[in-house]
Amino acid sequence: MNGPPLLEARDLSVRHVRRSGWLSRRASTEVLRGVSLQLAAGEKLAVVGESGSGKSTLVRALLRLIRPHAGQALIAGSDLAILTPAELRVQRRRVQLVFQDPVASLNPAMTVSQIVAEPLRAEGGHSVDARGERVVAQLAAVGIGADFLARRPQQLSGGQAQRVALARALIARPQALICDEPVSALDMSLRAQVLQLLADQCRQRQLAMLFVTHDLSAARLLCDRVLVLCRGEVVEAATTEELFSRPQHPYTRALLDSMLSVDGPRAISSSS
Amino acid sequence: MATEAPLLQLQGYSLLRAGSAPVLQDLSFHVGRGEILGVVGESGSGKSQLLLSLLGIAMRDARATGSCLFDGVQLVGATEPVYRSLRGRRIAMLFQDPLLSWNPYLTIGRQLAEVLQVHRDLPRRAAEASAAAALSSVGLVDTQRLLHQYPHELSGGMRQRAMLAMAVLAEPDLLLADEPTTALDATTQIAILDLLARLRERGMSVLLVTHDLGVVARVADRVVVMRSGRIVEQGATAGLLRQPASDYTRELLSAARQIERKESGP
Amino acid sequence: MKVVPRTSVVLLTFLVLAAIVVPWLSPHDYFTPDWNAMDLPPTFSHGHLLGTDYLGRDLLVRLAWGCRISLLVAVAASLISLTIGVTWGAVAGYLGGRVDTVMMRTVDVLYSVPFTPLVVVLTVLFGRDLMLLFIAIGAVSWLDIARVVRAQTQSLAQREFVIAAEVSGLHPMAILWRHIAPNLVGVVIVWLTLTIPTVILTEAFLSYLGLGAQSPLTSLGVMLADGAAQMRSRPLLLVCPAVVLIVLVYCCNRIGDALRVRHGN
Repeated sequence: MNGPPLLEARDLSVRHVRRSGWLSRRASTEVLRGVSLQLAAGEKLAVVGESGSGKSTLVRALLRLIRPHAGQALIAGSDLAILTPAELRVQRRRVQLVFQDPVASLNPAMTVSQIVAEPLRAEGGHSVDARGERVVAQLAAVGIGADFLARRPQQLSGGQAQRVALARALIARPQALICDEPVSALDMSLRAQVLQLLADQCRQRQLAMLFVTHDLSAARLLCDRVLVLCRGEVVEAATTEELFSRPQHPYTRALLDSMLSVDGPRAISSSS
Repeated sequence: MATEAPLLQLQGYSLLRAGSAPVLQDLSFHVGRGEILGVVGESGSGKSQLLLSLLGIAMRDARATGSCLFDGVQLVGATEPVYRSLRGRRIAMLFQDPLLSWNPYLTIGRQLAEVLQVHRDLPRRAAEASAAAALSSVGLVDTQRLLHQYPHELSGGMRQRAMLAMAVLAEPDLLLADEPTTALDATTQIAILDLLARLRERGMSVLLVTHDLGVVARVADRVVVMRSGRIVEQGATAGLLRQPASDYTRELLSAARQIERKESGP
Repeated sequence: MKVVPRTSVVLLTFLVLAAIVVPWLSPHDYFTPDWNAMDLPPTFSHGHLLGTDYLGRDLLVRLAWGCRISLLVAVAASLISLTIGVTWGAVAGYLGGRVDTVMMRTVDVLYSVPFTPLVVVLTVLFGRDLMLLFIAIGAVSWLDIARVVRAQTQSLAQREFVIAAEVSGLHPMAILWRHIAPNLVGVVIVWLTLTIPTVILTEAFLSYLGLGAQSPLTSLGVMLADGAAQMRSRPLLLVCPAVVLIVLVYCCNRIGDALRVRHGN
């Protein structure tokens, strides 16, 4: 597995600029400060942070959905800043997104089959029949039957909607998946299922995954490496094993201490 | 103490809606004095409706039957004045989203002082002094400045702490908490849960509704597990989590343990 | 609140059908003066059910024609402004940045142009023409929908399904067309039903000033102006178009309101 990493951030910094009032000067807050990360093919990296840590900003900056004020975002070695819009669209297809709120991430004006077919349509070169077949196959792979094809997002439960969103992300055969809190909006009993599904799909397709979460236990379940983000900065980067057994940064320790377990507060840190 | 009746006692309590399945069906449980009772259920289990109906603000076309005794007062069929005399003063509520439960146009201080003026008839000055005291009792610092800030100027955790301060300001006997930590960060969640545990030491009872068994394991004395408006099982927290009697609870536990990466079941 | 304002729908349908059908059924037309039947009160004898005006033209037929023209102007002008406004607003809202600034400042500038003097000037320059009326009204009322659509588009563009479409490499114009436009339909329909009555009133107002439909062609506004001139001797000439106008505008507003409530949820 040589060559450039699939997804890379080099000293990525993002500022939110806002004008606070009429005639006032522009105030800027730095939401992301010099974040660097690399995601190799087939690798699973977790970005763990609490609200305000800048993790959602990082996701958007990585795909150049927002413009960083310094640093570079690269997909497969090519700097997104210097690509033409058409080239950028091609590079972005290597990476797909799964969002936190599954219902908001599906277009309410479309049916399930239209939603899932959309990436193929963007790619072009598929006949209507071929598209339909792949949509059905992909939905089946994530556990959604053909009777759901004509439904609309409002008619789906949270778990079903998240499966449909995953099908959409996977159908154009990306090389990496970015999951932004994919299970935090779901009921407890569904979380394990959806996480398991994510893990299975990644293994079968040898997908790389950037898993963005506030939940350390989910990060441990899925990922090889963990990056801890605090107020826009990476405070710790380690393998999952290391992070859980020997956390270095006080913030990481605070996070570990605040993990809840059904078997009492101490049970987690003492196991594994 | 053992002979004293529990603070809240439900017996065959149901919430019915014309033309649809009952929202709550045949609930029987109690909340003791100085006890935290965890009510666990997933979306659609009716746990939020339970809290609202206890305050007499359930859906308009719904009707409660059975018995619900709060400190000897029958709440089923109680009139609006009876509820009003309880709400805020003896039964307080803590909502999931701390931003939605504040009035965005008033300072934190004004809103806290208002509670005191209404429920304890304090003059404005004295009310502000005890508001500041209440804020520091939930672990907030720089309370004088906080009193003059607006809700949106606070972080989510601070807002929920301040909300808790407001809820306990009138020293209610029972606190109804609807997923009070779900919208918060893990580190803040722990702090709020510990605050609830401290309030219990002061003799307050808490009905804590949550979907997270980890939260229950951390603070609740006893647990009620709900599903589709019915009670699946109830019991002391430690025992129930170690040896659940129902399949449903076992499923919930194994789902939670699967994420925690541990073997399911004993 | 009722979901469907049934009375309003029925009344509006009746008015529209009547406006279309009455001129066919009646033996009279709207433009030929009849010197033997001037200023008749309502009578069955010659089929002048509502009487005639000072040139002996049948009031009922003229009323139907007035209704036709008013509705035609309203619908045409609304569609013109809909096309311009939705495109303008959606493009500005979706592309954002400098494009947005330029486009929306243009809207602001046009807003400040006084409408009535503009129409007067246009009429003086190009003469009285129904087409001019469409364009004048359409050119002004698109400003509102452009603003509404821009705001809606901006909020839709932040939504995750739009981001998902961007990431799957869809062309921006395809995103606009396939993902944003369908979600604007609700807002646009509501705007349309609330704008049509406004345009009917505007047309009536302009015609009343003599800037609208040209005689012998008529519209509700023209009829109101004629009726007002003879209000003491022939109150019916004023009352009939006034009632039709009120009912028309009221029904459209009720339906628009109901739609707004439904799409608000």
